[in-house]
Amino acid sequence: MKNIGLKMAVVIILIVVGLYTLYPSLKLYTAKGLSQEEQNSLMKRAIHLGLDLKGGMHLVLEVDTTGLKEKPADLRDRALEIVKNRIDEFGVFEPTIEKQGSSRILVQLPGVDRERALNLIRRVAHLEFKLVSDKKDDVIKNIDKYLAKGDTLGFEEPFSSYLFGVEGDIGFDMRDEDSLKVAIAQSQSVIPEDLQFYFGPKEVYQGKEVKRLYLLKKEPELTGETIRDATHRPYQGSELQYTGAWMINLEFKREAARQFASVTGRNVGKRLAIVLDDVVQSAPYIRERIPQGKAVISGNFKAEEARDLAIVLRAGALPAPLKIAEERSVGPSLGKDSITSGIRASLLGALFVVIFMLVYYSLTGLVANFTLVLNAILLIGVLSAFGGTLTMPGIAGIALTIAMSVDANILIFERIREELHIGKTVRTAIDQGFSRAWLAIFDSNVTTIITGIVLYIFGTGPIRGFALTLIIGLIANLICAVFVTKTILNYFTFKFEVTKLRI
Amino acid sequence: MELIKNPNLPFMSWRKYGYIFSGSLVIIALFLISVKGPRLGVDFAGGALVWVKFEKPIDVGDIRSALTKIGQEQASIQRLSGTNEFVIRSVTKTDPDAFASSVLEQLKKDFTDNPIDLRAKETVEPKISQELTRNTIIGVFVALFLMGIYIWFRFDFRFGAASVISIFHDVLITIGALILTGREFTIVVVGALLTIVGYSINDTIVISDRVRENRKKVRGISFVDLINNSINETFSRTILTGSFVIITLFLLLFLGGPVIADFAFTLIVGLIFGTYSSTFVVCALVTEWELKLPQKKK
Repeated sequence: MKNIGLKMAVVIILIVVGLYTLYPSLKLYTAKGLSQEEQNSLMKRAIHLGLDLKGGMHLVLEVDTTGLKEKPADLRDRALEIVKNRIDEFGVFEPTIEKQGSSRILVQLPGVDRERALNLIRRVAHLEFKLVSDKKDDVIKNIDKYLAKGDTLGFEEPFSSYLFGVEGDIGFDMRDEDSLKVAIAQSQSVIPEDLQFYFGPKEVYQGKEVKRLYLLKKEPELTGETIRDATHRPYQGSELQYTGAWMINLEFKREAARQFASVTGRNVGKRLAIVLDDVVQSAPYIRERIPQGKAVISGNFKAEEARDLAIVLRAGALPAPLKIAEERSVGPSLGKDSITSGIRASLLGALFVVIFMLVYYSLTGLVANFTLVLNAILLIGVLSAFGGTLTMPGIAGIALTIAMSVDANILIFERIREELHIGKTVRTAIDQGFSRAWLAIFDSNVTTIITGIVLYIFGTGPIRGFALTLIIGLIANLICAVFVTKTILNYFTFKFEVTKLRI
Repeated sequence: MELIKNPNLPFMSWRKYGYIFSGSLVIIALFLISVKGPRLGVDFAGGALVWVKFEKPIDVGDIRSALTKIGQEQASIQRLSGTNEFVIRSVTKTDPDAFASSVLEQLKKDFTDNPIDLRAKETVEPKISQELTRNTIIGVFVALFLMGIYIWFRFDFRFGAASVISIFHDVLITIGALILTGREFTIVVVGALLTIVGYSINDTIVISDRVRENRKKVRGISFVDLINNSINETFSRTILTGSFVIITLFLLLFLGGPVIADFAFTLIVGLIFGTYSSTFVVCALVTEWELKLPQKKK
């Protein structure tokens, strides 16, 4: 036996490499009471669980350019940068945010509160400071006059009949919102060109769902781009409606702070509206010139809302709205169920295989079982070392790899049997069995690897996980089933001078 | 232990029955595909799917009436048998995201005393699903083409051509079975179909490899005997591996959870026919070809 010792050494190296690469995953998912630091360092070398196994959200976003006049080429990249910043600040563990195609953004977030994350990502967060016009009463009167002319029912005040007072502002019942919008659209010719109507957020006033109506200057005094920092804290002002709510403290950049000071200085006694995504959050009175470059957004914010709003304001506004082109979310409960049932089925399958091989091929079966286990260890180990991801179809891929591995062993052993039947000695039978079965094993593994590569190239998400496990598994199989099994069989028949093989 | 010995069965003299069996199954499958068509999942059709689990038992009718309130009485509601879990699918393809959000909101609002747990949600814009469909079709054909080439290169042209035909046979019949059992055609199922392609080829290769070997080794026997011997010599492996894989797959089917069930089912049907077709499609066709147009002996 030439080089049998050397070959055995290679087998042992394979085992060591397999165990070494498998170890971090094993420790991460089975050991209890690991510190966050230990977890993070293990995570780098361990196999990752796919979204379908741990729950999470897979999103494909598309920049919605419908409302835009110009479409700059870097629109998607700018949006991507902002989404990235927001998610970083939000603090999601191991997010994936990358380009997809020419106009899309792929976002994968494991285990997050779906609704909240969606709000955070999709919010445009276009912040503007606009002065409230003092011509509101005149404009409303003019609209009434204008609409009354065309009104066939003879209402004298078709516009202001929708309106009523809401704590010093003018508001309307939300059920009238559509009619109100139509009326405003029809009356564009009597609304001064530099002014525009805005609505407030939904609120409950005297048992009704209402919104406030504001008339603001079109041209903003300042925009969100001038913000240096935004933080959230409990409301500290004196207005009763906000007690218990949270607010956002804004801090302007230096240049903007000077601008803000001059705007507030020139407009003492007027109101400055804070407009977020075209909704007026609040419109406080300017009591005096504000020189420190600080402002506050108050509103009925809950702690979470205020925190998320501060995040999006810090990260900046999206250049355009984002549309969800594709979403795949898996709840954490389904993920857990999938892992449990997937692992249970795989272990039972493996147990069945191991017992059968042992019964059917006795001692030789034991060698086969050893290579099967080594194959699985190498597969998971290599996946971990490459930072691969285990998905549900990936588990199926491992099962299929094991099946192919069993097939290889069966091919070899059946062939050895045939050779023994025609009277060959044990050593020749093993040699011939391997060399004859090799071609079939090689060809069948290579064709399946071809399928795997094609699946990897054309497949998406979960299917790629399947393809990757299949490719790695089959390469490991070619090494294990042929080289390892043969070396071990040769080693023992050589060492113990076996003349009768129990197979 | 040795359960299966070389059975010496005259497989090739049964090939006529094989043609009738395969032929009729393929015709039924083609009929099902053209008349009923596969039930496309959200992946390929576009649209929305919401999978929720209620805490307490609930009637489908109650869910239906909740959906009626938001004008979605058309949506399909499917109960996962024996559970309080429901899969709700949109009928229209436009704005799937709005559909899913409104359904979830309504269910939360209407069943405050029976809270839902969102198991999974999928929304796919038609544009994306069309791209996916296109990529999948290209992928399947590229895979088929490459395998055909590989077998032609490693064996001979006739085996290559017959293998490609047998792949169509296996895949068509499996799709027929999927339609018949009302299973959904998703990206995962396509993955399973491609796996079948791989396995079917694998099985064919084992027999073809034996033919390739015996052709050189054994002289002076008829082509039919050559094929029969090769099938018989590899028969124990065929049965052993086949039953191994199928038993493992049955475990996945019954214990692997709903996500993996369709995958396992597809593989089971495909593997049975993939094993069968190596003998009764590939070998039969190559035999037929040889009998009509004998190849010159090298």
